[in-house]
Amino acid sequence: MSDNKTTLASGTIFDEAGYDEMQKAENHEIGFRLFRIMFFVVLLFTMVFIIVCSNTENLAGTIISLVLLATLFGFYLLYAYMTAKRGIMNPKFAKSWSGTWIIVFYGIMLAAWSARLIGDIQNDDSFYDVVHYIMWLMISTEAVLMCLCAKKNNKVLKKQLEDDGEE
Amino acid sequence: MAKNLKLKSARAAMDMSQQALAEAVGVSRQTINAIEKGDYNPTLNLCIDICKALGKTLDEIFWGND
Amino acid sequence: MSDFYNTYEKENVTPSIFRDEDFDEMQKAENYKIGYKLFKILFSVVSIVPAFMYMLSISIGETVSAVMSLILFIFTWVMYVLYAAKASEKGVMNPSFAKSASAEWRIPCCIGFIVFCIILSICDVLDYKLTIAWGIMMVANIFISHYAKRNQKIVMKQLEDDEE
Repeated sequence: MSDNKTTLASGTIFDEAGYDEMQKAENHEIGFRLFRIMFFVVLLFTMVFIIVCSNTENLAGTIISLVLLATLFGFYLLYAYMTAKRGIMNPKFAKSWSGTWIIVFYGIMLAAWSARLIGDIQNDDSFYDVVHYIMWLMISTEAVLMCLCAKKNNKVLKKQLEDDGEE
Repeated sequence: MAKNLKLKSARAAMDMSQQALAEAVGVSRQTINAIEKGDYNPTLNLCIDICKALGKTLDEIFWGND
Repeated sequence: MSDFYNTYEKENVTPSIFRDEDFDEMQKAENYKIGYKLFKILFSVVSIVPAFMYMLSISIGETVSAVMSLILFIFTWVMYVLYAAKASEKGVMNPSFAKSASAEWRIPCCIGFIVFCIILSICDVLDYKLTIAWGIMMVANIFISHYAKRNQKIVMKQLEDDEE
């Protein structure tokens, strides 16, 4: 019981050292649900922030929010990778994201936005004019990597079931 | 975690595929596979449902590894 | 196809990677574990960035950025308080944390600190914008302390209910 394990934890609210399985399970569910909310709200907020900062020519704000956007995409991909590694990605999501056409389509988008960005840099366009290209580059990269994660998930799942030699 | 060979043989004795057992107890085939491989510890409720589906007791499938 | 993807087909559903209605207990448990780990890290990262942005914005006089950073800052603390609330509801808050956060001196100290900051602002010793940030953190800590106490009550009740 939790009262016997009080002395083991280091004392932050997120520390699960000393939890038993019930406490872990409950905390994991709470954390997952809040992760979901937090991710989408902060993502939306960050995109708005980027637009506001670039429109008001706030350089520091624009850079920091771009970095935050990249970090959020990083978390999204990390979640996708960690679930794909175990073959436990949401099946519907994995099914819709594992199409090869996604890599082709977003690969082309990636090339197109990169060319546009390079062209604008060479033309000495202002940083604020190219911010949305950077955003699109991030989105395209994220889509390609997500597709790879979905494919990995399906491979892992197939292997798990084939290993058993069952139908 | 050790493989659950008792579950596998109980299922084979009933001539039941993993998919059929999964559908009978309301989980995915992946979960049944993970339980048999020892990769997942099912909840007590799931253990009970599996036993009912296979007509066995908890001791026969999940307990007493001697 | 449904066998391959190992789930139950639900019609007309927009797939989201976080949608847990499609999961069985094993998939849920594993996804929750991963989500929890990432939540901890995401929270730490996101709680630092708006604080930093807010300080930067007020130092360069960017009102819009300052307001937006403050909103994100408040949101982060709301998530923290929400976590505490949900965990305490079931009595599963970290016991060490709950024990220290439920100490009687916490709430009066937080209130005292807010009053102190307000006084410093009135006397022009402290920028009112910093007082706002401190105020948000102290209010959040008051709520956390309240939920920690609730957690302790619930744990005690759970254990008392079982006394034979």
